[in-house]
Amino acid sequence: VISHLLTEDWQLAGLHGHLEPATDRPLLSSALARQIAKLGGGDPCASSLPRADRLAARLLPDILEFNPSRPGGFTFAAMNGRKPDDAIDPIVRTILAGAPRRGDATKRYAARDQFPYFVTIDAA
Amino acid sequence: MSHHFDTPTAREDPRINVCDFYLFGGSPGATVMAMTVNPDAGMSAPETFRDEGLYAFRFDLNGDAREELAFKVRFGPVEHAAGDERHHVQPFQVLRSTGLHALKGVQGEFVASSLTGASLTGESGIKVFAGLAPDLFAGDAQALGRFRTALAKEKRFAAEVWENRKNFFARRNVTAIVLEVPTRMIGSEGSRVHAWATASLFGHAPEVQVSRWGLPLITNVLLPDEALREIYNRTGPAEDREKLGAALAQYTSIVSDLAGSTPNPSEYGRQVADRLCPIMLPYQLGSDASFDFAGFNGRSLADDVMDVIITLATNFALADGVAPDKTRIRTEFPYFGAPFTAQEQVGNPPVSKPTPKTEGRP
Repeated sequence: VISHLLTEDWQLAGLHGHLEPATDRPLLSSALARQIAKLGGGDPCASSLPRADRLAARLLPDILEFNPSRPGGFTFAAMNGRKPDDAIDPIVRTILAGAPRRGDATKRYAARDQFPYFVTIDAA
Repeated sequence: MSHHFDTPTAREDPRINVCDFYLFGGSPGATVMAMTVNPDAGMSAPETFRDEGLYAFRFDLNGDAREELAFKVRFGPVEHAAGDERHHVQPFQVLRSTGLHALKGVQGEFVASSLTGASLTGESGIKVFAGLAPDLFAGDAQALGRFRTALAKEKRFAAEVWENRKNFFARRNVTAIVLEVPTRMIGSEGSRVHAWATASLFGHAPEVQVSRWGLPLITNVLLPDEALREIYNRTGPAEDREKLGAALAQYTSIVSDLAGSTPNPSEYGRQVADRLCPIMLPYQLGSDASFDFAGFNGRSLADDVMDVIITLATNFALADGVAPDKTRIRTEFPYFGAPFTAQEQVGNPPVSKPTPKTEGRP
């Protein structure tokens, strides 16, 4: 989710690249919230700063959580790890917009069910 | 009013049919809880509450999916308002029950009493309201019906039905019970609680729960089987994983498979069941409530929950194109604005009650 925002703002991307997760909240929250509000494109709900602040607080620190005792995957039901073939584009766009966005569900890696899990070039 | 006529008892008496449940921060240092009953009140349902009903807001404070705290509301008989035979009022009282008393019965600390139709502030700082209110739920019920029919009968994921974009609940009323209590009566600011609302029959016979609400649209979207809906309504969250988890996983596995929205539908089904069970509304006391795609943290009156739940059920970004009527939300207690007048409701046909039956699985 965060990386999607970083593609829109190279200054924010530069700052993010030099930080550790432990410092994300104090140093990135306000810049991230401004970027989220900007993505709202003037829509009163999606652009509202309270919503953007709330969302920034939920997204930071920028870490991928994973609890192996629970069903895994980055989906609309949960963000518990991420698999190569998870179609994350609609999920990321929907979370950031605060409303359903179809995005591009074809943006995902080809996967196989054994190591190395990604379909390698020689196997494709 | 997303929880329409879905238990046999509630079908017979809409006064005990819990339609919605909200939980959010109110005035500084206070927390608001609200439930609605009587779908389409005044047209298809009464404007009164059942005097043998026990309405409760239940709070799990320690993560065991059982209530340690409950605010319980009981109503007296319907009376004519002074000087107006067409206008009815009911006395009601609010109790705060803790420990074992939270689970059953009407023992607890008396915190307020009032009459329906008027807001009241009690000595302890608690504010109470019960009465006719606008239905703030928004959803395209027609589209949902077509969507479910296509799933069950044609084994088809019919995303196109959501282009209908009609709010079935527009300009309709419900009856609401709204309590605003000092947050310390629930827990400390910043602590995380899980809550749900229930309606029970209570009076001459032993207490029987007939309707439950934790998260939105559980029965209408995620439990198509009437028997499972009845189990949901008659039980508590502590039993959800065991009694409903497998059915929730199976249903959302089938639907997401038809949608082609995940490479591993069965894993997605397990994710949904794991996310939803036990079925309670989480809330960090004192925070801005929001039930949205980024997470569930309470629920404000303006949250468009239909889109969130139909998207979660399918793992496919679905929007019904309608949203709660924010012009009918107040910034102050009781937060629900004025109910719709008969003149505003001209052209709204009464809601017909669906035939009780199992819809079948997709």
